Amino acid sequence: MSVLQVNNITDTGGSTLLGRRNAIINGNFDVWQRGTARTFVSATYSADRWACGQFQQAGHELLDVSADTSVPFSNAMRVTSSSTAEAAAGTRMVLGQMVESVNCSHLAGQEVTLSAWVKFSAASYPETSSGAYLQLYFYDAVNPNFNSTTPTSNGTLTLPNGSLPTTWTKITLTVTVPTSTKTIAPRFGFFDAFSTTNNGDYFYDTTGWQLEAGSVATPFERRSVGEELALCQRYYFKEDVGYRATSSRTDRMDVTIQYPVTMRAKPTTTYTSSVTFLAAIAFESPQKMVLYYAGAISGSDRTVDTFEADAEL
Amino acid sequence: MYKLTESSILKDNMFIPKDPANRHYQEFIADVKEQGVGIVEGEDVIEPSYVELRQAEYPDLTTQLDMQYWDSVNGTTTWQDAVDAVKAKYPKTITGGTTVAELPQWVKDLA
Repeated sequence: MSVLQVNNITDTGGSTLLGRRNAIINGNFDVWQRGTARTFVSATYSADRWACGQFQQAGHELLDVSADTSVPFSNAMRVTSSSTAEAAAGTRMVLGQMVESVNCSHLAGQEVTLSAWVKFSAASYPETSSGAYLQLYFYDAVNPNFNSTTPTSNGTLTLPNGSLPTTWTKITLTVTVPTSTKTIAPRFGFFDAFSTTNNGDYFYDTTGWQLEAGSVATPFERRSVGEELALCQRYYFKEDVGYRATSSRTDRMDVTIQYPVTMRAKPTTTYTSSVTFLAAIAFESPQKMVLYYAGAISGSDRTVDTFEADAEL
Repeated sequence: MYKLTESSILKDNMFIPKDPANRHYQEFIADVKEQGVGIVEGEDVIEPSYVELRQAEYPDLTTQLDMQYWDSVNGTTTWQDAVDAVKAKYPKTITGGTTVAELPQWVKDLA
């Protein structure tokens, strides 16, 4: 009996194409549990796992690119200069994702490559002189707060103003991750904060984000949408179907909400209902939540209409 | 403004768990350090009224019926005495209500 041993699988270019290469979740913007068109204040999440940067405002919305043969994806994100609010505050039109430490700390000391597809509405933005950047933020901390933590260092690819790509273009950044790094965050945006006067004066589209070990930007690793959704639900879960409270005692009714996957941490929870439920501590965990209605249980049903659990970074 | 509850911290309509890995809890700690404890309100304390207090202390119905039986046999007032004692202990002036508790020490220590 002979045994076939496979030590490695490589593509014709010589780079490894084994699965689980991409440390970025929802890199092709297939999952939008929070909704597909939003306007933001600072550091709010939009497409699953993606957020604006600190003190930044921008519009993030789903863009269907399935008919565009110049880009090999179905969905993208359009990042706009969102509203007159930015006219005063300024915007860098930032997009970023904090990769959880357990999914990237093994890259410390290694060469990594970040790749993404981008397309700008104009080659030159008159309000900014320094152009746009593709960056990797490196943090020595484990799972820092995306909203408030300054990176220890970063790696940067500059896209000069005046030559911003106006057709779909794949850009890559290869850097060596510092050995002390515990968490990595890919980001994209403009160096200078600039003001706009009209909603959507400028925008860029982007998709196909991948962060992988090595110096080669390999083809985008496609995962099924169900698998991608499950990966996203570790950080955020939204349920629009009502939960009906059931009575376990004579003086209260419980609603048990079991999360689809174990979440990263105990999530912040939000619900809508016609009655006021209280959050119960005894059953709160990354796996489930119990809300209880304390009071007389006779009469009409008590239901939780929508529920959100947020364990993002 | 943050509101403490028995199990979590309420901000707007968000229930924030006291989990150091939760980003909203991290922001709560940072906000208190920066702005002081004035942005935090203590937990609501629900004081029971005389109704709830009496209900909890009255002998159960079986015991009360037994008291009434033996009172009728012996000519005593055990049942009435027991009920009167509870009523006297919790007069109708105890109306109950909700008050706000003082901030716990762990919150004060954050500032």
